[in-house]
Amino acid sequence: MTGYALRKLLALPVMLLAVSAMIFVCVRLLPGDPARMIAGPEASAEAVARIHHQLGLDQPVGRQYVAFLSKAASGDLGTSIATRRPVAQELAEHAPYTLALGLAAYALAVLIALPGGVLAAAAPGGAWDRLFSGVSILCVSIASFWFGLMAMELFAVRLRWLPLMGAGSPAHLILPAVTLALAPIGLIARMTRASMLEVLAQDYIRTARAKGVGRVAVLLRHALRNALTPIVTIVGLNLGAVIGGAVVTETVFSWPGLGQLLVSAVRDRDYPVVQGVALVAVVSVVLLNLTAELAIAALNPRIRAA
Amino acid sequence: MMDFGRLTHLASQTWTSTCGHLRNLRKTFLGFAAAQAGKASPWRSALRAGSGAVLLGLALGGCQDWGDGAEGPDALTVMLTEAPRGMDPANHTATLTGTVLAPMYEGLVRTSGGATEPLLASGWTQSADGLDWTFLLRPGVRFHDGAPMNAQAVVVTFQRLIDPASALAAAGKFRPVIASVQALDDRTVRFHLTRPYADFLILLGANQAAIVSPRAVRAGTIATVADGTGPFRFVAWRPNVSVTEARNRDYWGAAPLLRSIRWLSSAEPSVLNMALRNGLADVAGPLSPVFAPRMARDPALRLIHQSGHAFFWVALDTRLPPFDDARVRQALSYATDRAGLVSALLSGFGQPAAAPLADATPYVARDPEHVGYDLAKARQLLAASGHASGLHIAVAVQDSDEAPAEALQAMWAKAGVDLEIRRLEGGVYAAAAFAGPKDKARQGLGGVLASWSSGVVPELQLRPLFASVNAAPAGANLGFFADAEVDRMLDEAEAARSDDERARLYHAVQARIIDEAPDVLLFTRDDLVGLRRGVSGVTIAPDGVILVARAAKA
Repeated sequence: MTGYALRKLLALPVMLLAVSAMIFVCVRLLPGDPARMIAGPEASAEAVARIHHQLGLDQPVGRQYVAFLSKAASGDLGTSIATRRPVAQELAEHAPYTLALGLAAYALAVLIALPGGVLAAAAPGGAWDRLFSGVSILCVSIASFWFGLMAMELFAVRLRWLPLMGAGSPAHLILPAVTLALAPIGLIARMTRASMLEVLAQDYIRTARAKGVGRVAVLLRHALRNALTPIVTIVGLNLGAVIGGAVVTETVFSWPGLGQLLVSAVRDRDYPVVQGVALVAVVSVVLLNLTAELAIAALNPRIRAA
Repeated sequence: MMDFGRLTHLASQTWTSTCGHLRNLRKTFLGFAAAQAGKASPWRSALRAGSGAVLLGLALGGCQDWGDGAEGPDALTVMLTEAPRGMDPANHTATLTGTVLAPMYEGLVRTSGGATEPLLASGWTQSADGLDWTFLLRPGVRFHDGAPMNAQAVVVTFQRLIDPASALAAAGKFRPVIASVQALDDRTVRFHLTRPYADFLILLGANQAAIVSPRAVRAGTIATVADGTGPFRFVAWRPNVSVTEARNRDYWGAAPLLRSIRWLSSAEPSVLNMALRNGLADVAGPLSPVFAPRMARDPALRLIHQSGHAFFWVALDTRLPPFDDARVRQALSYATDRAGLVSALLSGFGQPAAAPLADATPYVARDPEHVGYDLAKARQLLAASGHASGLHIAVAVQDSDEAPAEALQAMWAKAGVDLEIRRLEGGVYAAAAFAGPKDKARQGLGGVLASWSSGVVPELQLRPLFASVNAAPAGANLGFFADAEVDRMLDEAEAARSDDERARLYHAVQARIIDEAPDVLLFTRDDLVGLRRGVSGVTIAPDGVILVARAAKA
């Protein structure tokens, strides 16, 4: 297992190199021009060209990429075109917010969806099962953008229980975290229910019941642990989508995370920042998937042995 | 009925105490985790305690304040639709960046309502040939860093704008006008212009011409730390989050009434509206007209608006058929119900265009008869130009301007014109709009729906849009309009020494443009700003900058 994890980690630099090259070319293929964004529509072509030169964008893409790589190797991800601050500093300032938001949202999702799904599977077709399945489908289908605005109107404007937007206290985290948690709640709930139902139909569950193990013990000790493998896989894979979800949620709530940074960087064609956020996303996805695989191995001795 | 006021109070109390409890909990937990980590099976418990601590610490990390301290009776919070792009006044062209920087910086002069007032300059003279302008500086003014504001500072400020190698965003505005700038003595500065330029004082009144501290320029900090002479000094800038400014105690003029100003932003128009109603923001703008009628009815809020300078039009490709024929372009103009656009899209908060200049611009010459809605005339012109059976036009539209494009689609359909909307994201749109004639022809693009906000200088509206040298991709003449008479009159107007002469020329240019109809002129949108009751002294400058430095909160 340790060897497996090491191999994965060793593959990371290669993957980063490939992805960085892809992103480097892709952001430059986007129509639009950072110099034009800086100089404004009234700027002459000559003024735009001058800014191009200053940013080094008049160099061939290949040479720009080599320059980027040699700097990146020493930890310098370049300077933001829009704010003229180091990209690494921008990332370091925004990343903790996305991390906090993502963790809070997923913690919430697991705390609601896992017990809910287990209970739904315990009595399939029952009132709770029908209610919970309905809610989880709603969670998956609802537009988080719309939900966020409605939650703001209700809890921040009418009731004034929670702050409207921004960051600064745990209370600020609640509305964005709930909004971001919606989709994973639906996903994890449905996965838990399906996986539990499958396990509960196994022979060893009948054996456990036959030898007189209590209802709760059967559900938690015998069924849940075995049902967890696919759930952890789904959560692990889905965690990578947090930056995608954060783009919408952070924009609605002005939450100063990577999602918001990415949106403004794409708007301004701030190539170095777009690259930086994308690299952080790649590293996180790889590490998260690896963590999920290690967690599965810890849960399931059969995989550990293999 | 439930008492929401009480509930709110209770809830806020609960949150405050929860925050306190959580802080204590964090201390306890971290202590516990440290103790646990030392016990048996160290690897596993350390992992557990560590991950728990990271989780909890992250969630609670937010408990610390940002130190903005922008609440209270004399602290103003303003929410804008866009975060500032930087703290250097010369390195942006965005109205809202100018809004955030305005309380911290001052120029030599200030223009308000068409008049020019002295600011950092106490007086000025102009040479007979109009090429040399000499300014006498106000004595005893200091920058926020303590350095004196003197002739050398003015030279440094403009030198970096006219430097041929300068890549500052606003350099393109100043370089063609100012040839050189020199200090005659500590308090006297002379500008030598490249040509007589009647709007020079307006140019000096622009936010981009603010005098900056030479020390900050040399140190290279000006991009991120504002350093001017204004009534408010820079405290903090958190990109995409907030800017905080505090009263400048050493300000040379009348002390501001506010202690501090905090700037927030949200790209979502409905959030601005909610922030005003919720009390997070004292001032919010520019507001979408969609919310204006409802806000005007809210007793807790007040709406201020003024005729805006944000001008909307459709540029037609004057080089390619069918729009190389002026009659076809005029037909589209007559098929456009501008009053309908203003009432439907802007809830009435706008002006139907009747000239190629906004109402706020000097020398505007409105001609509602030739820029009016007349469907019969539109059909007649189309028939006369051989398009009785109708025609097709593809127009590039920025995604945020889809609504006016759809309204035009319906209006022009009545005249037999089939408008194809090419809805594009901002950057993609800019590339398409500024494409040269060959690219546009290849893409089959007959027009571009665009908007422009050049402030109050007629030249800065008419020249980029209609002078032949500014045909895209060189400039913003997106339909490649080329008319020798317009070019000549623009040059003459700029060099004209008498006001009457300029007025005559600018009126003639506008009449010519309306006649040739290279653009379908649509409307100007009002600048709308919402205030909470009790906030006073907020005004909107003619160029759309929201001025809050003289504001007060009751």
